Amino acid sequence: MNLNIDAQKDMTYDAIVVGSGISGGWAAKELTQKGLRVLMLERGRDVKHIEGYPTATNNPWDFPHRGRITTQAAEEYWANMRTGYTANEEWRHFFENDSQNPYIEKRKVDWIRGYHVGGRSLMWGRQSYRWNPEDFMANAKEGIAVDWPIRYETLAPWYNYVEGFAGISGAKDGLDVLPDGNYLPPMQMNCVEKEVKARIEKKFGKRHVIMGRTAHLTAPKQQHYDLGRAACQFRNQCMRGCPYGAYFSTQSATLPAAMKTGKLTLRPDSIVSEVIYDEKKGKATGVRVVDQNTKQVREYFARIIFLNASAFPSTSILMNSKSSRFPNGMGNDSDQLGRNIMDHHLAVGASGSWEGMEDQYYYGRRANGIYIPRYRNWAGDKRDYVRGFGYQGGAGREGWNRGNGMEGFGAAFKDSLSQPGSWGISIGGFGEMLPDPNNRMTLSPDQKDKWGLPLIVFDAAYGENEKKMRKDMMNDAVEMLEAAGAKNVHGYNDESKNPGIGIHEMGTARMGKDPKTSVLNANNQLHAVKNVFNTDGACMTSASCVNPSLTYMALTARAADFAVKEMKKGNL
Amino acid sequence: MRVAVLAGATLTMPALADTLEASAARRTLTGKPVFLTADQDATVAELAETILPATKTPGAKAAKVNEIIDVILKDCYVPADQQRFIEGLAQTNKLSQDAYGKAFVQLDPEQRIEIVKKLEADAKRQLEEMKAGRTATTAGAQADAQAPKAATKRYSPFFTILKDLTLTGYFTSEIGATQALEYVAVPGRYDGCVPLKPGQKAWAI
Repeated sequence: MNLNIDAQKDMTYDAIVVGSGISGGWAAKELTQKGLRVLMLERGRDVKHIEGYPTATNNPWDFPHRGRITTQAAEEYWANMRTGYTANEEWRHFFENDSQNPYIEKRKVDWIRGYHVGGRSLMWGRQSYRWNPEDFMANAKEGIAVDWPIRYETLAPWYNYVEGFAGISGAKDGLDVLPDGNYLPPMQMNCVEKEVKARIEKKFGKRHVIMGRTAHLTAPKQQHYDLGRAACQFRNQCMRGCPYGAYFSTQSATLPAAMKTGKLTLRPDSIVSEVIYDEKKGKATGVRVVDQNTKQVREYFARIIFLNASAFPSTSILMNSKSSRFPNGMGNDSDQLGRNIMDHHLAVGASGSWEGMEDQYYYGRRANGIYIPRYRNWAGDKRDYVRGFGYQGGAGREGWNRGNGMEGFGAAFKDSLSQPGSWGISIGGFGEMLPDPNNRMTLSPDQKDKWGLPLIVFDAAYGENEKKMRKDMMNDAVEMLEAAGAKNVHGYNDESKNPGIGIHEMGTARMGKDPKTSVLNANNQLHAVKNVFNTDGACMTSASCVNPSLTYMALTARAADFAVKEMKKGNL
Repeated sequence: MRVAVLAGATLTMPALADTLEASAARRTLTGKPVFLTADQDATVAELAETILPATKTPGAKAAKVNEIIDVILKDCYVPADQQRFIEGLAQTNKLSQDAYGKAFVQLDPEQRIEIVKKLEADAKRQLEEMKAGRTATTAGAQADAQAPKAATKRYSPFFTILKDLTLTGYFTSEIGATQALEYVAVPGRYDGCVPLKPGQKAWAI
């Protein structure tokens, strides 16, 4: 490219953040608040807070197909169809058209993407749990993969910091397995959930049923109001985008905070193809970008680069950043880049009906449920597999759609469906997946997308440890619901799903102590290129069994703090 | 504050892609069915009303359930299911002609109930046959080899599709959600344990 000096100056920032989802938003907020001029690049279209949520206040009858998926969409959104919900008419516009953005599967990976400003922070599940100290030590103790280069104590103050800003609702339950945090008031359990909690805790002792901890403002504080956020209205239409800004997203929280500094430039439609490496300086100098609409190529420059494009795209960018120093992709001296794909395995659990409490109901729609923290291989328990799982679930009364499972029609049938049905309860497991170097992604040598970038090739599957764990996940669920008094308890273990179905993809640029066996160091810097950071799912050395986003937030805030200190010291 | 402004305002609604709304818009604009013939559409309207008739609350016809069934059939069903639905409508009229010498739409409500009972029984029989077919296949390789292929193929019978679409169309309509059920767009809070009042309706969503 032929750039004059002024133009190059316009394209030069203190920091570049690639991606605008949960971790990218945090990187932009932290770096701008610490005084840096930041360029945030997003590969997809812009989505403005509130006005960018076209279905947010729709009534059920406002949807042309009442939420159902058209046959055309089912074909085009082929990966999304594997989840059973992401291609729904209510929020399909926030998920990617898979036919337009293909990928290749040697062994299947369910890859669910959100290419737009805000990324998947707009559609995430919002469950927010801290890891426990053992989660950071399990690899070392069990001789699996590599040790984490950090410990719980390293991250604890950062968890505290991000919880305060994001606004996490939860109770302090005092459990070792699930450290308490800095919480807004918890949501309430309903009558059946309270009873289930009492009975399970009485019967099993070491198993606990708690209220889910979620990134919703149940009682906003001034810092939340200052960003234009308001309290959760209990509409449970979160995945359409929240016009109240009540749950944490880039749009509701980190983006307005970063914009307030006057130091953020946000550039949508900008697909980063590679990080530019200067052999003489031994540093990255910027990124190359393809405009998703015009396909024009531009370069932007900065002293530090945060890759927050989500695990697989961040990895793909590094793999595509080749130089004579890094013929196999930037920072890939260890050959670990693209390996160790992890997710949480799910689609296993149990459900049952509940007799009685027919005089009890609830008001409002709670976008949250109960949580049963890990108890397997914990506190003296020992199984024929390692690690563990938690359950998310909830109780509720059946609605009108129970009519499809009933015989009959006509006046009495119709009027009976106007009444609440009987109570039911279900719990579904989220299990830890071990890192395995053979679960990997590579770049296709010959197949490219419409922007000329190589397609990702996945080759991954669950291992024996996950398969053994799933037996417990189903059987324990049945056992607990029966012990709780549920009737007609039905266990399920759907083994047709693939890694990625949890939409918690992790591990493809893991952190570690040794540059020979890991990609990133304890501060999320590439071992080999110190001014390139990665703090999305790619950096994870193991997976825990709890939802990962809160940990990405804490890692990002910590890495941004480190980066700015290093810049001030002249080290970056 | 942003949220205060929002409370009374209508959100700007950028038009969704044409493909998403085209059928529904066309149906509303022209008043004509987009998938069914006018006769089939009228039959669907009466079938839906027989399944969910007007009681203390309006029925399926008042909620224009036939219109949403027409649109969903066109856009959300594969050809094999569409075909089965059309055949089911023909079968409905055949049953009606055989029993009463009239088309289904010309029957009185009691006669319609009798025909729909037959459709329901027919669907039940088909589902049981499919289930029996699967049981046979799991009984052993030999049974599997001898079982006719059609017996193990799973599909939704006509009445199953009709009932599902009628319930969905009605209870997600404005009439169904706000009159047969109780709809609260913005609850504002969550109370986990609330005594059910006598006669209280179920929440629409």
